[in-house]
Amino acid sequence: MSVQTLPTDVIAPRSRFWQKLRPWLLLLPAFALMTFLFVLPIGAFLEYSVYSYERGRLVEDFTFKTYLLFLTDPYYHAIIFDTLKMAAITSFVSLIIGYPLAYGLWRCRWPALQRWYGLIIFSPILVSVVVRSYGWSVLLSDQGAVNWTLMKLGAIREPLELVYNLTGVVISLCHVFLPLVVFPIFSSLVRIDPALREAAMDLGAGWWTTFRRVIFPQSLPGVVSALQISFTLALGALVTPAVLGGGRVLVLPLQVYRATSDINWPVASVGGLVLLVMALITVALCNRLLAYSES
Amino acid sequence: MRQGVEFVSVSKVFGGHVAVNGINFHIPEGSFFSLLGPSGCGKSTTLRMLAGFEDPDQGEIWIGDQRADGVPAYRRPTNMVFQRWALFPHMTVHENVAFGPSVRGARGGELNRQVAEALELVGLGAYGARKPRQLSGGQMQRVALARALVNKPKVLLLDEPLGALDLKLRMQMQIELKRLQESVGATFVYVTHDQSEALTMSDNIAIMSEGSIHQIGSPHEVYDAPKTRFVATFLGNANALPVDVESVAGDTAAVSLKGLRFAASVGAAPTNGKGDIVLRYEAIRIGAAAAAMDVRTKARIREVVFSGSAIDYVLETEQGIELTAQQPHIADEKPHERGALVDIGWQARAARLFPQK
Repeated sequence: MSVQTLPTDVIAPRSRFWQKLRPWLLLLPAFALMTFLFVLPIGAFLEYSVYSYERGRLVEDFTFKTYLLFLTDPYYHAIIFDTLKMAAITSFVSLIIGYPLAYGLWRCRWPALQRWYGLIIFSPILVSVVVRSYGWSVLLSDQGAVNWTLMKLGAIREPLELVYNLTGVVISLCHVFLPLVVFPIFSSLVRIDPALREAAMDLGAGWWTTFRRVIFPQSLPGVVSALQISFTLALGALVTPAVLGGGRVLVLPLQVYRATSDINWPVASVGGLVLLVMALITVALCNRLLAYSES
Repeated sequence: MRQGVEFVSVSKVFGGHVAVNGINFHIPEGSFFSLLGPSGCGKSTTLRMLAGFEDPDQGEIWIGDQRADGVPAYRRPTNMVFQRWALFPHMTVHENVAFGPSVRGARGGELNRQVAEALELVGLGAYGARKPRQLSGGQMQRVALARALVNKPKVLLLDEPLGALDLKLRMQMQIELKRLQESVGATFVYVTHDQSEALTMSDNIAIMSEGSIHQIGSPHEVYDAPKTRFVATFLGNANALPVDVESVAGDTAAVSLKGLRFAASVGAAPTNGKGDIVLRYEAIRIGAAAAAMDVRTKARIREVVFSGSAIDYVLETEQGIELTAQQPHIADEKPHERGALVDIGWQARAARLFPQK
């Protein structure tokens, strides 16, 4: 047992040093990634955003022209508004679909069914965004499976316009956001003390009253983080609006993408910054809501 | 006309494991009834069947003259105080207590009056605006009581509600619970594994083990006249000594152990001539007091264990029987020394005979 004979006061200072250093070492890769993929690009963004673009060429002179353009031009206002509208509708619909799924997954007492639930909820992430978007555009087209079924059932006479507009984009985005919405809600439902449900029922509350007055308020933190995730991801969605919007859903990421292919760096970077600011505001608002819902 | 609470051959099976095995009992209206037993004995399941959280697989449950089994929890005249109280964390104390009456349709001034009355009853009149997490354990306990009692239940169910409190507070709440029960007049059904809680508060105790009720009786009956070996050894501290049974006549028996022959009372008569004598620690007298006892012998003191209010002596009699005796600790009296040879004795009726396990 020679280890025991080592005087501890000799090794202690060094091990304390390592103990302090270890968490920073572990964070190093993440910091490096952040610096190269976030901090430096933001610097580049800021640099290009104060240049201007004239007659198809980049002019490297300091100006706030592009910012003014975004602030004053109704064209950009409309795009920003449409982007926010799409994100809001998508988040709302995702929550409407996701909450019952999360609740079902929580209340399900049959493991086999629970596995199926899990598979259904996770399946959207298993398919690449391009394949999924084209898949939906086929399903939702005028001769697609959805319209065909609805017409065969006699629910509609004319095919619904489900694709190459906002509807198609929202449907496809909700599909992929499903797991991202279900799991935060599910995990906050799981955290609820099962005795609270019993206490509510014991006090005379039926299923609906128990849900409305006890379960739903307790699951709000999950709902807010689901909202936060779906809203910020919807703000930045590019492929889905491009494929399923059919050129009619002009959201900001699409504008940024177009500007980059025109080498219009100033518009691209200001557009990117506007997206970033909108995402940050969403995160801040949701954090406030979260703090409120947990109090 | 039925009254109180009645269980008629109620059974409950969980995936092949029999949690409750055909139990029968009756709780008189307005009494304090405890279900006492070690964990896993089925006492909580019994309470949950009474609350409506579990449905019995067999048997009938009656509350007053109403059949209760099959009735959902939210339509039973019972309310429960949960083990960890289960207060709604997003509601204030007032909202927690108001939950029951508001679900049943009380509004405005009437609702506020009921809530204020219930909070006053548990001495928390000034705490209505607080959230549960701003309260101490004892206060949460009281809120849980007020939240249940505000509904004026016929039967109040308590599932080890004092388990999470510290000892001093627990003793104080025991007295308070008994006072509350007497003032509101409801039937209280109390589940606990803590015998002192059950003995302190109950009018009647049902002692359960492995899904069955071993004995129902007043605290004195179950402590002084246990009907099974389990009840005799579960309550209090007792020596269990294997003996040869020489004769049984009515409720007394003659037994012998390592040459010491003595009389004992019969808890349950063994059939094969072998039995166990259960003898409580505190029933054995040491020293001068032993002279007045029915059964007397001499013993050497092997260990002396001091525990504050009492002293335990581990003894070996001259016949070679190992026994533990407990004497109250009296400050002015010097305890017996380890190694000393002392007279010991006990009353014949204090030793109870049961069949061997």
